[in-house]
Amino acid sequence: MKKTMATAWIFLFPALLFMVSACATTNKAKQGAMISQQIYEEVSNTVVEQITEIVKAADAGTITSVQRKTLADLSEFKKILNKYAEAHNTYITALKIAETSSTKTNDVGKQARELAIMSSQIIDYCDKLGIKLP
Amino acid sequence: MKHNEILKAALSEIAKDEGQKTGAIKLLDAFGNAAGLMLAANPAFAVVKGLLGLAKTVSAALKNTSDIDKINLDDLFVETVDEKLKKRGIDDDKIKRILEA
Repeated sequence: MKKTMATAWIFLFPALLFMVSACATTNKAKQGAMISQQIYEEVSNTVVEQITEIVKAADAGTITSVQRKTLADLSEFKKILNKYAEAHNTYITALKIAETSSTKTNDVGKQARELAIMSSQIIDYCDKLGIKLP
Repeated sequence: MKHNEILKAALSEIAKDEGQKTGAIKLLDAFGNAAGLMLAANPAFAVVKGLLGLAKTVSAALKNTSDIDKINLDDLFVETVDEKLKKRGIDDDKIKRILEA
């Protein structure tokens, strides 16, 4: 599961670079936002499913030490994902403004760059947790 | 080719002023093909299945430009992980209690 998440972010990083470089064009920015949403949903849903499974095991009294350690890692990782979701939503808001006002395109570019930086931090975080690519 | 090498090559392609989209699609197709080969060799390898799924998703998103104008930005907002967990009756306090037990 962790490897899948790391792989997902490896996909997201170039996608975000694509989005940053393309942000001047609204259609391409939309495309980047769509990719960001799709990959975020893939990763976040995986995290939610895994946390739910471990919480159920805890409720049933069958949680293992490995699951407890995984839950601790997921709990930290979800903080970053929460921040990413907020940054993504801010990007969408900026994009909505850009659609109605050509003077606001800098906001879109700024937010896209923040997303790209954040995805880089997430890759670093995966490395710190020992999440290796297959 | 290792993933880091693929990524490095992809970033180089995407960084070019021209052909950014082409480079991204080439990268994703390469990922998809590699994942397909690995999947054939070891169908039980769940990570590869995830990789293949993501490659298809992103590649399709990059290639499908015809409907971009129809995208409603309001549909692109996402929920945080905490919001998703709350719908399942899980919050930070519950997780903390499990971790401290």
